Order: sequence, then C-alpha cells, then structure tokens
Amino acid sequence: MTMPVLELRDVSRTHGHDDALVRALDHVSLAVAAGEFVAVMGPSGSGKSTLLNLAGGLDAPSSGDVVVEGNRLGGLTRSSLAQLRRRSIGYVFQNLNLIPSLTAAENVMLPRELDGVPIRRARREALAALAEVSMADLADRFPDDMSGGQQQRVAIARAVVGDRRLILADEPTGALDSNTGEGVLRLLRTRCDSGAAAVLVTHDARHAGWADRVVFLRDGATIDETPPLDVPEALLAGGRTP
Amino acid sequence: MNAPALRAALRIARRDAWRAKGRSLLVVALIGLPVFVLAGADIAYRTWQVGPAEKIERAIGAADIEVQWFGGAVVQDPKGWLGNGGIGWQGASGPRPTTAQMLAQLPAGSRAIERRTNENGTQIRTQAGLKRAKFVGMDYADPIARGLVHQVSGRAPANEHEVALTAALSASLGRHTGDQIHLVGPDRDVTVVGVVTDASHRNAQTVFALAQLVAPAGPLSPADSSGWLVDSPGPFTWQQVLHLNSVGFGAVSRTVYLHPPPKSQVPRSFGGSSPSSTAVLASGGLIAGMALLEVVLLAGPAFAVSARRQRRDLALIATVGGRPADLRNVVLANGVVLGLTAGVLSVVGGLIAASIGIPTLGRLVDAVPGQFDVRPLEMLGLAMVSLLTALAAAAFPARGAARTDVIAALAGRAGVMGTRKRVPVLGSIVAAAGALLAIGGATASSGTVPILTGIVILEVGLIICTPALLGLAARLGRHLPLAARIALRDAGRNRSSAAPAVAAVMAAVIGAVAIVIGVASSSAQQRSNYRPVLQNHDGYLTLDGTQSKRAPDIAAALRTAMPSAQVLVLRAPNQDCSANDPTCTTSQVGFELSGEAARRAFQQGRYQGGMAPQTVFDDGAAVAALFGTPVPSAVAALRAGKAVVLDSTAIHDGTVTVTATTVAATAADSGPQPSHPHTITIPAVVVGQGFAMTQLILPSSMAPRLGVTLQPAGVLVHSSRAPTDREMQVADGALNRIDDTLSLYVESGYHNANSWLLLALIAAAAVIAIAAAVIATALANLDSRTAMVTLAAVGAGPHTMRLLSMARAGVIAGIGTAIGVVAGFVPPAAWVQATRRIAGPPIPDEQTLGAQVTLVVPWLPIAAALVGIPVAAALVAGLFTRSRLPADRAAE
Ligand SMILES: Nc1ncnc2c1ncn2[C@@H]1O[C@H](COP(=O)(O)OP(=O)(O)O)[C@@H](O)[C@H]1O
Ligand SMILES: [Mg+2]
Repeated sequence: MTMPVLELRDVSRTHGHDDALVRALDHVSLAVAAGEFVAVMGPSGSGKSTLLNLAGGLDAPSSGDVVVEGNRLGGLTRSSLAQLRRRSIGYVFQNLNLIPSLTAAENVMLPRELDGVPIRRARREALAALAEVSMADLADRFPDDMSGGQQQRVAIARAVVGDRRLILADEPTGALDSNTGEGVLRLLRTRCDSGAAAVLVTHDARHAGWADRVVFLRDGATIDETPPLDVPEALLAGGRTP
Repeated sequence: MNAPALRAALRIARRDAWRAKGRSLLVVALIGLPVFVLAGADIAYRTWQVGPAEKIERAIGAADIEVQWFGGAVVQDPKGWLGNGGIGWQGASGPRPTTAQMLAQLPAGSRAIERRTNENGTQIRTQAGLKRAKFVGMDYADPIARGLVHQVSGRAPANEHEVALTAALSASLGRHTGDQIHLVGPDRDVTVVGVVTDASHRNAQTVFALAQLVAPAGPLSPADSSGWLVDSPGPFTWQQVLHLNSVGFGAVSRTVYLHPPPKSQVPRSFGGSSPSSTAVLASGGLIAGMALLEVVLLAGPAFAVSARRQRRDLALIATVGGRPADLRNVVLANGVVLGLTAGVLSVVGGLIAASIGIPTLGRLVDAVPGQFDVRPLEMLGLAMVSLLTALAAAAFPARGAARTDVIAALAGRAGVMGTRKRVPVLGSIVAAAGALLAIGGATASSGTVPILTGIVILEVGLIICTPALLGLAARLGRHLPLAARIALRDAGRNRSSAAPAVAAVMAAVIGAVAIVIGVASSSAQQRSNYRPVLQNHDGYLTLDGTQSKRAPDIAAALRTAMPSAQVLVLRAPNQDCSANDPTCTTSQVGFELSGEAARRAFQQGRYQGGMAPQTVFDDGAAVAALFGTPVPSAVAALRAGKAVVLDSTAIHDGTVTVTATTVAATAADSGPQPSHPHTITIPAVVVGQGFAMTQLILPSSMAPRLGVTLQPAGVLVHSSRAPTDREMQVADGALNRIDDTLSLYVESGYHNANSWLLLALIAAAAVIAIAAAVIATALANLDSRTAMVTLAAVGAGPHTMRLLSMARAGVIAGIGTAIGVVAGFVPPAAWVQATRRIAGPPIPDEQTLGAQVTLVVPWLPIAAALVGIPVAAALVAGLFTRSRLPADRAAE
C-alpha cells in the first residue's frame, strides 16, 4: 500500500484542565489514501471540526501524531505549516468561504499568490481550477453576486488549486439546498477519483453515501467505521475506480 | 516577503477600503487634514521665501550696487546689510561725500541716483491730527530704481512740490492723486501726483519724493539708511567692494550677492546660523510629532475595527496558507492604501488651496509673495508623512492580526487578546523616564527639546499602559449598572480599538491641561510683575519748564480730545531744567520712607515709571482725580492745612517731616551744590484707600515754608473708560500742534494678550478629546452590532441601547481624561522647573522685579474638563445613537 496522504496516529485533543477537562478528540486514528473519500459523521460537539483542524495543522494535538504527505505536523514550524496548507491542503467550510472583497478568480489565486507565484501564472492556474468546477464564466464575479452553491464550487477550486492532494471539507453542503449540495459532493468525488484525498464532515447520511468510507465519532472517539455504501448517483457520476 | 503576496494584501485592502467608504473617509480625513495644512503652509512658506535674485532686486532694483557712507574703515559681510553678518566700521567718519565724490571711487562710466531714507519718517497733517509715515527720497522713475516701486496710478514726483504715496498710506489718509497734503518733517505743502506699491511690503506706509526733499537723519544714525543706487559698466566684484570699504563706503553688489566670494577672501567671518536654530527646528519637529501621534491615536480605532471585521478573512487567509506575516500585511495594507490616498488627496488639496489662497487671501499679508513655489520633494515627503501616520495607526491592530486565533475566528468566536504582565510595567517605566527627562532635562542651552522629548516619551509610556488599564477597569466595573458594566467590559475586550481612543483622549487632555496650567502660571507671574503707573485708563503728561507755561492750553486740548471726567494740572516744584535758563532751579520734596513703607509703595507701583511727582501741592481739587474716588477726609485735611500721606509708617505722632532740597541748574557744571535743605514738620492724615501715584500731598501754603516755587508739573487726565484709537489720534494731533515733544501716557493695565488664542487651543483640545471618544464609540457600536441586536431581541429598548452607547463614550473619555489630567501636570511643571533653573536662585531682595514662576493650577477649569469631557462625549454619542438604531435592526 502506498503512503497515505493523511494519517492520524492515536490523536487526542483536550481543552482545559482537571474538572473542566474537555476531550474534544480521544485517541483517534485514521488514514486516508490518495484517491480516497472519507466521510466523518457524528452529533454536534463530537469532535468532527476538531479532527479537521488537526488534520490541516490549524490546531495541534495534545497527544499523538498527525502526518500529511509524510510530514509529521508536530515537528513543523508555523510557517512550514502555512506552506503545507498552501501546497498540500485545501479547506472548504460550511459558508463564508470566500473573501468578499476578492473576485472568484482572485479568491482561487490567493494561495498561489501567497506562495509567491507570479500573478499571471497564478491567474492562469486559478482559471483552470475554476473551469474544472464549471465556474470559468463567473471568474470575475464577487462572492456577494454568487449563489451559495457557486460560492462552494469556487471554494473547492481554491482548495485544489496548485495541485493540492488533501481536501478537508467541514459540512460544505450545510448551507445549501439538497440539489446544490449533491452537486458539490459530486465535485469532491470527481477530485478524489482523479487522485486527491478528501475528508468530508457531514450530518447527512445521504451525503456520506458519496464517500468510500464513513467514520463515526461520538464524544471525540471513533465508534464505528463502515465500508462504502453503494449509491446510484455515485455510479452515475462515473469514473469511480472500484 | 514576496511580491505576489504583498500585492494580494494590497488588493484586499483596496477593495475593503472601497467597501467601507464611511470608515475609510473618516481615516483619510483624519490623516489627510494635518498633511493638507502642512502642504499648504509649505507652499506658502516657499512662495513667500523669496529667492536671492528676487531678494536683491527688491533691495536695489535694477542697480548693480547700492553704496552707503559710513566713514572710517568698513568691514562688511559680502552681502552687506542684507547679510547675516551686517557691517562694521572703525574710526572717525567725516561728512557725507557728494555724489560726485562717491562716483570718483567707482569705475568710470558709473551712474548713480541718490536714495535717502529717513526711518523716523515725516508727518502728514490729517483732519484728526498727524500721521507718521516712512519718508524715502529717490527718483524711482529712473531706470536704475526699476523694480523697487510699482506705480499704481498717476506718475512719479518730478519736483520738490510733488510726492507719491503708497496705496496703503493713500487709503489711510484718504488722499489720492491730485490732492494736496501738508508735510510736517520738511514743513511744506505738496501735491500727491501718484500712488505706488512697495516691492516687498504691501502695507508699507511711505511717502516717496525726490531725494533733495528728504533731510537725512544724520550719518550713522540708526534711522538713516541713505545711499546711492549705482549702475556700473560691468559686474561689480568683491575686490571692488573691498576697495570701497577701504575708503569708508559699504556696498551691496548684485554680483557679489548672487555669487558670494570664497571664505578665504572675506576679511572677518560673517554670518553663520544662529545657535538656537537647530533647537527651534527640533522643537518644531517634536510638536509636529506630537500632533501626528494624536492623529495616529485618532485613526487607530478605525484600523482596529476594520481589522476585527476582517477577522474571518484573516482566518481564511490562514487556512489557505497565509503566514502570520501575511495576516499582518493585510492589515498594514489598509494603512498603506488609506495613507497613500490621504497623502495624495491632501497634497493635491494643499496645492489647490495654496494656488487659490495665495493670490486672494495672500493680499492680507504685508510681505509680497514671490513666485508660486512648489517643491516636489517636500510634497513627496508630506505624502510619506501621511503614509507613515497611517502605517503607525495600523501597526497595533496589525500586530493583533498576526496573532489571530484562526479556529476561534472560523467558529465566529471573539478571541480576547490578553496583555502580557510585563507590558504595563514597561509602560510605567517609560512614562516615568519621560516625566523625569521633561522635568529635569531642560537647560538654558537646550531649550525646550528635552521637555518636549520627555513629554513624547511620557505619552508613549502611557499609551503602552492603556490596554492593561482598560483590563483593570473592566474588572473593577463588576458592580456597576448594566450599561456601564457592558461598556467597561467591551472596552476591556476590544482593547485594540478602545486603547488608541483612550490614548487619543488622553493626549488631547494632556495638551489642554498643560496649556491651562502653563498659561495660568505665566500670566500670574506677568500680572504680579506688572506695575501700573496710574489708575487704569488715566493719562498723564509730564511738563518741562517751558511746557509748563502752556499748561492751560494743553489741559484744554486734552479736555476736548479725551473721554475725560477730569483734566487737572498738577502743581509741584520744577524738576526738569531742559530750557537753557540760568535761573532755573529744581527741587526735591519728600520724606524718608521706612523700609516697610517703601516696600509697599513699590508693590503698589507708586515709584514706577516716574510718571507723576512724588509730592504734589494741592488744596483739595485734585484729590478725587488722584485717588479715582472722592476722599472727603483728604480734602478736609488739605483745606485745614494738613498733609496727606499714603502710608501710616511715614507719620509720627500725627505729623510728617518733609524736606525740600533745591539745586540751581547752573550748578550742574560745577558739581552738585545743594542749597541748605528746608525741613518742616506738619500735621498729617493717612489716606489708605484708592490708588494714588503720589506719595505726599501738601497744601500749597506749604510751598513758601519749604522754599520752593510751584509750577504746573504735569497734566492728569482722569477717565472712566479707555480712550479709543481715534481719541488718541486727536489728542496726539492737538498736543503736537502745541509742542511736538509732548506725549500723553495712558495706563491700560495688565493685558493678557494671548487669552483668545488660549481659549481656542483649549476648545480645540476638548473637541479633539470628545471627537476621539465619539469616533471610538461609533466604531464600537458598529462593531458590536450583533450584541446590540441580541440585546434588542431580549427586550432592551432603544433607551437601553442609547444608554449603552453613552456609557461606551463616557468610559473611553473618562479613562482618557483622568489619565490626561494627571499627566497634564508634567509639561507645565517641567516648564516651571526649567525656567527656575535657567533663571538661577531667587534674589533675596523682595523689591526685585521678576517674581519667581510658580505652578498656578486653575482647579475649576481642570475639574470642569474632568467632568465635562466625558459627559459631553456621552451626550454626543447619545445623540448619534438614536438615529442609528433602526438602521442597525434593519441591517441584520
Ligand atoms: N476552544 C475550546 N475550548 C473548550 N472546548 C472546546 C474548544 N473547542 C472545541 N471544544 C469542545 O470540543 C468538543 C468538540 O468540538 P467540535 O470539534 O467543534 O465538534 P463538532 O464539530 O463535532 O460539532 C465540543 O465539546 C466543544 O465544546
Ligand atoms: Mg463542527
């Protein structure tokens, strides 16, 4: 088996001390390989967001190791972590993913520009990423002039631009109607099928159906892990490797 | 640091500035206003600062040289009387040479015209009286004088019966081309044939005539700057100037002025900048620095609020791989964008204002401006000042942005930024060091620089402490009513915007308190140093021996001219033998004062100025005027043949001992020969009330017993109000017709000349303080819109909201004012210490003038500020809230 894109090894995250101790994540281990789409489910407060924050290096575990593309995050400096997010990890959140004062293209360009890529090349790459999510026409629109679904597509384009291999999505469909939500998931599925790894936090069992695997969390601990369900839509989307 | 990332930050800032137009406009205005003023002032300064070519033309017209006669051996600055070093000469000066004699020292082919200037001027008879004007004798129509005078109308004087007037003088006299005027200097009637303007002084009041009409004030008199304007065949070199020096002439040559000789060729070192110029520059820089610091503090909250509103954006940038530095740059970029905008707008605005203002408002200024002069480098510098101000204002929030708690921001939780323990300690140390430097640092040579530096350091230290103080205040507010409690907590939580606002209030209050105390102290000192020589509004005119014969005419003239209640001729023995009269004698009449009496008399100013004789002979008529109020006891005493004294210590057993000493004027040549003094002892009464400039009033029957003859010694004009300018003109005119050396002194009391400026400064400081609090409150309200809506949702009415808003403003203004009032004592204390240190230890003699400066604290205005500024800020904030609340609701 090839090296997983993301690996959590016995990761815990606690807040506070003693009586006020909160175990946001409790000895969780998880490996996501390239091309794999993993859904994380669980009730509110079960530690889903904490897991994603740890996976992206926004938060540091109290114990255990997080490894992204072979890099142990605990051993990295803040700026190396930032570099990892520019080059390897893409985030998509529930809403307000985009910077309102930047156009769609500029939002997508941002990680590349922060990485020092010259503006013209960054824009070329951004337009290509937008084209992949069928948003090329709206490249110069501001987020305020786009629908929620369109905004999420732009967010996904930004999460993958620069050939990033790990997509962390925290309820990306939470603010969308179900049709639009399906579209966003189909897009994530496609990215995984073309080689990326994705972790999707969701409430919705139907959405989990797009995933290869579902991890259930409760009170910060993994309680179950299922093999993928066969969902017709997923097959219809095509291109899925068995 | 990479360019694409910076460009992205600037792009975000640019768009954000455009999206939040109101806030951007506020910041641009705050930062731009001082730069706008500075830009306009710089252009005006440069425009009025005439270049050397223009300067020499204004001084000598089209001439190649101006030559003046000094006699002896002249040593001069290459720029002569136009230079810093000036001119010096040694040895006897002979009579002024003729033009031909002067020309003999110059290259053949030189041509000269005379310019005679009498700074004492001439007098012109007006309807009201006499008008003094500068008198210049020069044929300004000659091509040599071209550029000195501009003919407005009419023509140049062509003979001795014609003059031209400057426009300002013509307007002041109401005389124009064609009118006749009477000159008093050379006593003659002349015709005004033209109106002109002076090349450098718009308001110059000058009479121009041909040279022969002006009698020079006399060689080497400071009022005399007569000389020749010379057209020489070639450029006039420094060697030629040195030759003229050797034969007693000083010269200003156009060539030498524009191309000064090397130092080695100048006999003595002339010029050099005054030693204090760097100190003045440093003080100016520090004051400008404090003003900019205030701007930084005022603009700071705006940047803090925009940074907090950008929190989610900043978190998103972090999730896509932004480093802390990138987040900081995004906030700093706000400063770059707004600072540059403010810089460009204010410099362009200053340029436009100057180009409109100089030709219009500039006319009100006496000095004639030169070429419109814009220095691109200075304008660029000012734009940079604006940029740096904005960057400084954005720096504090930018530091916070770099430490954004990404997870909290993404979750929509407000992260509270704590203050590290060491920070307030560091701030206190810095503040204390600043105060010490200010109070202990100033010496005579260093001037105000250490004081100002100390104050800047003190302010910086206090600013460092402010966030911690806010945290402390938030904890102390636990038991306050809801609105005040929320306001205090908000200020504690949103330190990045509250702290600069509090600091802005503080800095403004420091300024106001410092000015109030400083001015109160200095005017107390001046007031205690001021010695009136008469009762307020009264006038006195001293008469010499010859003038005393015309006392009735003089009194009559003053009676018509002045708004007087009483005009009295005071009689005393003669004290002044100015007339060439061998029989003239002078007498001193008086009594020994005890030390205590002398001290008191001194304090009351009775010995100052020598305005009236110390002893006056009167039978009761002058009493009311002398004391400013009827004193029946004094009148009765004089009528009964008793003396009136003002000090009880002069009296022993109801009597006073008076001595008269008479000296003959002719004795002055052969040394003092006092005739044997007469001493008498007479009953006396003490009159303590009122103010009289005279120590002793004797009935006139005592004069023979003292062996003195009485004569009018002066005219006292007792008035109930101050004479107007016009009345003074009429009086001067009338007196001048009688004798042109008569002059009337009018006591106008102690004037605090700066009181209006002072009030304006204090008002400005208060407005800035209130504005700072209100701006910060408006921003805080905007910032906590969600909290406000939540409050509204749980049933808080608009009343509570307004109260909350008022409490916010009150808290910010209150904390700032409290710190400011305390710190405001430092600058005046520093000034008092410096003044004392420079003046040296006090001289024990109590009679010395120049009472020591002491710190005078006007508690009332300070207490008013302490209460008034927070209350005013709260009220203004309350007014704003009412109109805002419905919009806020609609917005959510
Ligand atoms: N900064 C924090 N301080 C204290 N508790 C926290 C903090 N962040 C998260 N938690 C707790 O950790 C648990 C998991 O939170 P989270 O990962 O956000 O859950 P989910 O995303 O599944 O709803 C919750 O109980 C939450 O209260
Ligand atoms: Mg969550």
